[in-house]
Parts: sequence; C-alpha cells; structure tokens
Amino acid sequence: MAGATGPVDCADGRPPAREPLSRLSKVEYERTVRDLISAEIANGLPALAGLIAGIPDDDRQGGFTNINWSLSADHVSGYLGVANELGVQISVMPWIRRKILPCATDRANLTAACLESFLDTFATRAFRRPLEPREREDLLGFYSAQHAQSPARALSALITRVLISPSFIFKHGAGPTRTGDDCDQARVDESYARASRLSYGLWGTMPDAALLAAAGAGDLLDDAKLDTQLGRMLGNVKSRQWLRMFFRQWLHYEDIPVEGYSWPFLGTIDRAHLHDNAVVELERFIDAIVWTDGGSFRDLMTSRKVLTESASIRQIYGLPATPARGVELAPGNRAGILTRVALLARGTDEASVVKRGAMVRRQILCDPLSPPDPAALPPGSLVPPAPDHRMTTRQRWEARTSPPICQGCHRMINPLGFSFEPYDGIGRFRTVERHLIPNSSPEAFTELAIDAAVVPFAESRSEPEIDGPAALSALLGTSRKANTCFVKQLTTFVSGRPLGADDLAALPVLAGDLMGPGGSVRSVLKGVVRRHATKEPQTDVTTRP
Amino acid sequence: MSRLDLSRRRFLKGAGGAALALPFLPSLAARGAAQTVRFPRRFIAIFSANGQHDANWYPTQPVNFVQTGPNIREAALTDIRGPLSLVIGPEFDRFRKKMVLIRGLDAAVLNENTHIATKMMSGYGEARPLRPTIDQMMAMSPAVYSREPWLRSLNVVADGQSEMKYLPLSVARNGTLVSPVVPYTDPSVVLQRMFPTPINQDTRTSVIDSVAGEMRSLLADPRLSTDDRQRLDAHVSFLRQVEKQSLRPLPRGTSRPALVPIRDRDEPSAGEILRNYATLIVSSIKSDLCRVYGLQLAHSQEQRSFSWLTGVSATNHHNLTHDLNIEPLVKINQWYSALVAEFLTQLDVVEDPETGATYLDNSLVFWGNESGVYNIKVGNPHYSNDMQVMLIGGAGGRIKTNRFINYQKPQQKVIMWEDGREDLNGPDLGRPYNELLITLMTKMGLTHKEWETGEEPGFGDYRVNFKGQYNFGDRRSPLPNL
Repeated sequence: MAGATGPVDCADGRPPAREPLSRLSKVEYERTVRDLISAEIANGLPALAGLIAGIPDDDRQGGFTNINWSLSADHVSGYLGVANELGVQISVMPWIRRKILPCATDRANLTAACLESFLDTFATRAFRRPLEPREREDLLGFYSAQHAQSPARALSALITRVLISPSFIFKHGAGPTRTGDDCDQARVDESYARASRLSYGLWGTMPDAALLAAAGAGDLLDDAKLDTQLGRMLGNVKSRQWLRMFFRQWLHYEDIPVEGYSWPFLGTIDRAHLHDNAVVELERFIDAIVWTDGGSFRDLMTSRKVLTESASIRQIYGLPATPARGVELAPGNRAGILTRVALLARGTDEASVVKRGAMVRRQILCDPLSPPDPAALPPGSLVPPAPDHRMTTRQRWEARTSPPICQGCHRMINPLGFSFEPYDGIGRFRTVERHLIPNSSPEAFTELAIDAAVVPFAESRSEPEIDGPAALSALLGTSRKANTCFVKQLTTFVSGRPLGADDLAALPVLAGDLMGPGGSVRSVLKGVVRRHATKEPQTDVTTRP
Repeated sequence: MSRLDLSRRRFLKGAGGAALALPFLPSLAARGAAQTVRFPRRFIAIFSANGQHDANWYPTQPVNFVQTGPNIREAALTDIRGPLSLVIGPEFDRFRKKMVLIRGLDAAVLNENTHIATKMMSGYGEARPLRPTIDQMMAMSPAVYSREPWLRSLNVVADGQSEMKYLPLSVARNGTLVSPVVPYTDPSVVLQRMFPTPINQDTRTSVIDSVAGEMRSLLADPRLSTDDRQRLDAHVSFLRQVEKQSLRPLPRGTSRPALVPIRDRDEPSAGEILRNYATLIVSSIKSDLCRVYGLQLAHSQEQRSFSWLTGVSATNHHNLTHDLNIEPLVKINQWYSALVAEFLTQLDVVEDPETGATYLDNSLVFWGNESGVYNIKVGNPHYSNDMQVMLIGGAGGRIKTNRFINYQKPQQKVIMWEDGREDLNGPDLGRPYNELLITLMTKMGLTHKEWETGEEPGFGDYRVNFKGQYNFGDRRSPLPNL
C-alpha cells in the first residue's frame, strides 16, 4: 500500500491511539461464523447452531446487545466448543474441506504451500486483516507441533486455534501489537480497521472479499473510494438484515407476548403466530420505506402502506381477507410504525397507557424517564386505577396521576399514551370503550367515547392540540427532536459503544440531513456508518456498566 | 471432586491395609468422619420477584416465640400448627426441620423501592453501577472451590415478560471490572454446557496454550488502556479456567439427565422450564460439577401473565401486586412455591449413607426476593424492608434449622424519610439485611478479606440510616443467633 495517503496522523512520531477492545456480540459472532465458512457449510453442520446457542446471551446494559463488555469463562468455553466443532468438521468432512481449503487433499499431510494458502485465505478472513509475520510463524509452529503429535488432528487443531484467537473474537481493538512509530504500518492497520468498522456497523458481520481487497489497496483511506464501497454495501441484503436488528432492539418489539388475551376479547382473531406475523408485517413495512421507497423518518412515522397476508393482522387493521393488488394502504386511522400491531399489542386486553406513552417518550424522543419513587409518593399512588364502567381508561389514569408529585413525569407520558387510546390492547381501532356493568343481569355494558385529543408536549408546551395517533405520528415525523433521537439511536447501534461528546455534537447535522430535501433513512445510515468508520479511535470512551 | 471421592466409606477402605487388624467400630468411625470428611459447600439462590404479601407469606396463626436475645424472638417451625402460610403450604411441612424462616431484615438502600433483582444478593438498590453479589463472591472463593471446578456458578432464569429483564440477578467482580452474569434461558443449552458431549481434550489444551501466548503479546502494547489490559488479563484467566476444566473429564458415573419436553419457550412453559432447571441443578450437584447456583424463577419485576392459572387472567404478576384483590396473587405465589418444594424434594435424597444426610442438608438454599414483605392490602410500594428470607438445608450443619426467627422491634416502625417520618403501614423495624449477606458468605467459609475491596468494611449499602435507627456495628458481624 505504498503511497497511500489518509487521515492517520503520525506527526508527533507516535502511532495513533489503539482502538478500545470490543468483542463480537452473540449475533455478530453467529453471522461472522456463517460468513466465514459459508451458509451452505453452516447449514450442513447440525451441531453448530446448538453450540452457538450455548454461548451466554449478551446483556443490554448499553441499550443494544452489541454494546456489552461481559466476558466470562462460559464465553471462552462456548467459543472453544464452536471452534473445535468447526476444526473437526472442516478437516474430517471431505466436501467441507474441499470448499475451505481445496489443496488439502490429504488432511494429515498438508504441503507447505497449502499451509501458506490456509493462512492467506481462511486465517486472513477470520482475522479480517493480513497476518503479521510473527503470527504466521506462530501458527506454522503450532501446526508443526500438532502434526508431530498427531498428523490427522493437526489441521483441525490449527483451525480451532485460529477461531479462538482474540483477533477473531474481538471485532475491534485486537489488531497487532505496535510499539514503534511506523506510520506506513499504522495506515495499513487503519485501512483494515475501517473495513471492520464499516462491516460490523452496517452488516453486523465480517467484511466480504471485496471490502478486504479495498482495504488492502488502501481505498478505504480515500473518501471517494470509501463511499463507493459504502454504496455497494448498502445494496447488499446484509444491510437490510442488520437494520432490522436495529429496529427490533430500538423499539423492543421482539419480546411481546400474545398469551394474556381473554377469548371474549380476541373474538374471531386467531392468535396463532400472531406475534410472528406482526413482526413480519412491521419489518416488511420498514424494508419498503427504507430500501424500496428511499423514505425518510417522516415516512416511517406516517406511511399507511401495508404488506401482509396474515388473516389476523388484516382483521385487526380492518382490511379485506385477501390482499389487494398493488400498493395497499391501511385505513386513515393508522399511520406509520407506531400504529402497527407489533408495537401496539402488549399481550393484555387493556392497553397500557403508561407503557405506550413511556415508550414514545424514551425511545422516539430520547427523554430520560426514571421509575417512580414510592418513597416520595402518597401510599397507593402506584396502584393502577381500578376498573370503573363509568369512566374511560383516560379518565381513570388522569385521576390517578393528577397529584402534582405524579405530574412531573406523567405530564410527559400521559398525553403520548392517550393519543393511542383509539387502539385497544391488540391494536384494533375503536371509537368507544366497552365496559361490563358489574352485577348486571343479563350482562349490560357501557360504551364510552374515546378521547384522544392532547397537547403532546413532544418538544414544547406551546404545541397545538392534536387528536389521535395519526396526528401524533405526523407531528413526530417532522419533529426535529424525534429525528435527532432517531439518529442518536442509530449512531449508538452502528458504533456499538456509548456515544462520546464528538458523536453527540454531530447529531444535529445528521438530523438536519435526514429532514432536509432528499433526506432519507438510507442516506443518514450511510452518513452514520461513514462517520463511524472514519473517526479516530477514542480511548476516552471507557465507561463500563 | 466427586461425591464418591468424599464418601467416608471410601476413605476408610482406602486405609484398609492398616485398618484390617482393628475391629470396626461404627460409632467411633462416625465421630472420626465428622472431623475429617467434609461435603462440598454449596449455595443455591432462588430468586422471586415483586415481593410478598405479609399475610400470605408469614404464619398468621399464633406462634409461641421465645425471646433469645435483644429484639430476637424464636420459635420452632415444627411447633406451628397447620400449614405455615398460604404460600408456604403443606408441601413444605416435610422440610420444616431443615428450614429457617426469618422476619425482620431491612435492606436500607438508596433507591430502595426499585425492582432490582441484584439487590437480593448485593444489598444495593440501584441499577447502576453494578455491584458484586454474594453468590459470585462464593464462586470465586477457595473456601468453596479448592480446585478449579467444572463450572464456578450456574445462573438460569425462566424467561418471561418484564421491563427489567435485562437487569441481572448476579454480578461478578474480576479485579476492578464488574460485569453482569447473564443467565441461561434454555434448559437444553444448560444441558449441553453442564453435560457436554466429549471433545478432543488434547487439542484443546495446546490450543489454549497457544492463544494465551497471543494474548500476552497483545498485553505488551503500550497503547492498551487500563480497562482493556484488565479485560485481556481476565480473558487469559478464563482460558486457564477452561483449560483446567478440559483436563478433568466429567466425573465417572455422570450421566446426562433427561429433560421433560417443552412445548415452546413462551410463558406457559415456565413450569416445564423450571422443572428442567431443577433436574439439571440436582444432577449437577450429585456429580459435584458446580457448587454455586442462581435459579431465577422469573425476571425482576416479573410481568408474566399466568393465563394457565384459573382465576388469573388478562393481567400480570407485577400488576397484581398492586391490586387489592389478593386471590390471584396467592395463586401465582403458590404455583411458584410448589415448584420450589418439588426442587427441594429432588435435592432431599441421601448423599451420605453413613449419616443419612441428604444433598439438601449439605447445601445452603437461600430463597429470597427483590422486594420486602408488605401488607399489600394497604398499597404496595415495593419497599425493601422486611425482605423475604427463607433458608433451607442448613449448609451441612453450619446453620441451626427448624426455626422461625423474628428480628423486629415490636411497635417500632421503620423511618423512611429524612425528616423522621415512619412508614406507618409498613413492617416493624428490623436489623440490617447486610448482616444476612455477611452471614451467608461466612457460613460458606468466606472471610471479610474476600468481599471487602475498599477501605470501608462491610458488604452492601450503608448510606441510608435515618435517625441512626440501625446499628451497623463493625459491619463484619453476622446475624446473631443464626
């Protein structure tokens, strides 16, 4: 890479700071393993999925699972189990060995050239960078020692060794040790580090061959060439898959149960696979807005586009059982992601005003909310309001949260939650609430009109009153605060670490791009990933949970 | 070390050459064995969420307490007529002689109303920063493991709905790094982790040697931050742990337990999942694969909907703890306590044929909660006073059992606010919960040097003590009379 120019600053005679260590999350690890050995081989190894499942789950201390620092003997043991399985299977199964290392016709006797080939291909891809001379020497020495003990096991052991290396397990920060001031070498390191940051930021997996080649050619130190790569990567299906992961973890719709509904409440809605179908519907919607339409955050918040064949979801949306040809729109009472079943259905007949409002406040507007402190509240304050057939849910919650001490938080939560009252606990649109009159015989019900008119207090107290979820979604779609929050969430997910001061300073600019003419989720994603890939390592971001 | 290696009979047989000429005197042998043969110290934490209603949890019938110390009253559990309580029902009667039910331990913590699972074993009420928990202290202690075990601790949870599901029960400390222990959520994964199919052990050892060398090379980089240096150090030690484990095959006679089928991983399968965890833990104990366990019956602030329980519908556990209708809450807690009793029953089989001591007798089971016991009928603030504490097993005779101990000061309420106001609806003032945590670690053989890291003595939160109502003493003393 002689002659490569780039942003690596060695002016003071010292190589740049080392990037903080960051291990692969469990999902990233699984995706990386699949890409390294190919989906065909991964699917041909029945034990692999179970072994990966045995690695401890990631915590969510940082909001997303790809921000975590937990590491334990269980992790190491899990990695070792996977590496051992792959080592054995690749070396023993001829059809797999042929694909991974075609020159290894005799697994017990690899030629020197074949070993070199292994290091240049499999090990280089696993480390996401070329091997250092010392690393090559160590691995070859390791193979020789293994071969002396058991020729038939040596290849298996070598593969296991590569896959348990920190250079494989850590996505960032485990590059070669540098003690000198070789600036050319620092540029090479930075080029490959950029490839990994691009790849894990946008795909949640290892760089592909084209990206590694670009890194090797020094292209990723050149803004224009880096943009070319980024454009290519955005067109790959892995970008879609990884962005879906972002939405799942941002909006927490992956854990919603459907088991708590009563049969009278469900009526004719079949709850079998309801949650799965709701997730599919939501993610098709996201794909359509972001990738097909090139839509903006506002489009995500307001589009009525529906893509589902699920009878249950269609029934909840009030659509005909059979999908219409062409673009299908939900009724006008529904707008954007916040009004989808996957986000509205919380598993209980009565929708939670507080949960819905708090979700928008925290996740869409990035306002911090602390849990209530009963020590500072009058006794009984945290008891949900009892059912009362004479009052709407809104009226009951307004009464319950009316004390000034509650209003500190609930004035921020309630209006947002009340906006969604036109949807019941499974997401059906309604104009009235129906309540059983106690002790009535025969059973009688009251019907109380839904009131969803609120001053949302999304950005300021002086906002005009709005009426209903579609109006709230429209407001959020054009809200600078909500757009900035979206960019903040996306930046956190892409960078896989808590945001530093420079990250926070960049958010308004990125949000401005998103809201400006031609601004789209796709383009802001590109901007966020580019910025993440090219920023200098920050050693000061070491906040641990 | 397997239990077979620890058996007194084997010990005597091993000395058979010298013993042949002597008459065998069982009573003498038993006394000798009591002095020389020790069974492993085991600790099992069972976590429940959302607190308990006092009238459901504690005996409501008259109890003939005897004063055994200042503000300490005791009664034998076997002297209490009828079931102990609605939640501690008849299925616990067979365990009364092996139990200690404790009332009157207050976790006086900052942010004390919160649903924080880790509070049960850290003594802190805040989600951040994470604080180490007693189980992980035990897991790292040479008093519990004289050599590297198959697994230092096993944490499992019956997954389910909760807004707090990402908060841990257990927190480990390694140097200055403190990290959550993420529990397993799938019994089949635990099965593979605890009872793995064989792999190539020789290869494993040499691979670990080689990788440890690579890690040491990374540690030579002067640009490495202090945090990352510690992380790499920890990684190397984890590698060594795994290596030591690899050198030791599963104990002879260890067999993979059979799990009951699970319909799916949704909430109605919680019962099957918990039964499978019980099977796995008991099998693991019998083979001495691990000595420290965290069994989470649910996540913190459980919001599981118990749709499979008659009379519990269209809401969830947490909401029900704020409902004046107590009946559904009783059903949920009875459902859990029946599962706990099943687990104890599995564990209560003979470990030492000579004395008849069971695995349960030689273990210390701590069934606790994230919140205190409260009169839910007057509102439920989820305070941390009068924490739920039931000890079962007695830790091989280290804890005297068959006792209901009440540490409360009668007629004196807990001061909850800085201005001296008391919680008039709450329980009577008790002793610091910190003392229990210290007691449990002490009973497991730990010393204060293992859990104290700073200059301040003690374990847990000592920052809140309105009007000096609690006497923290030297912060190292265990609970009196336990």
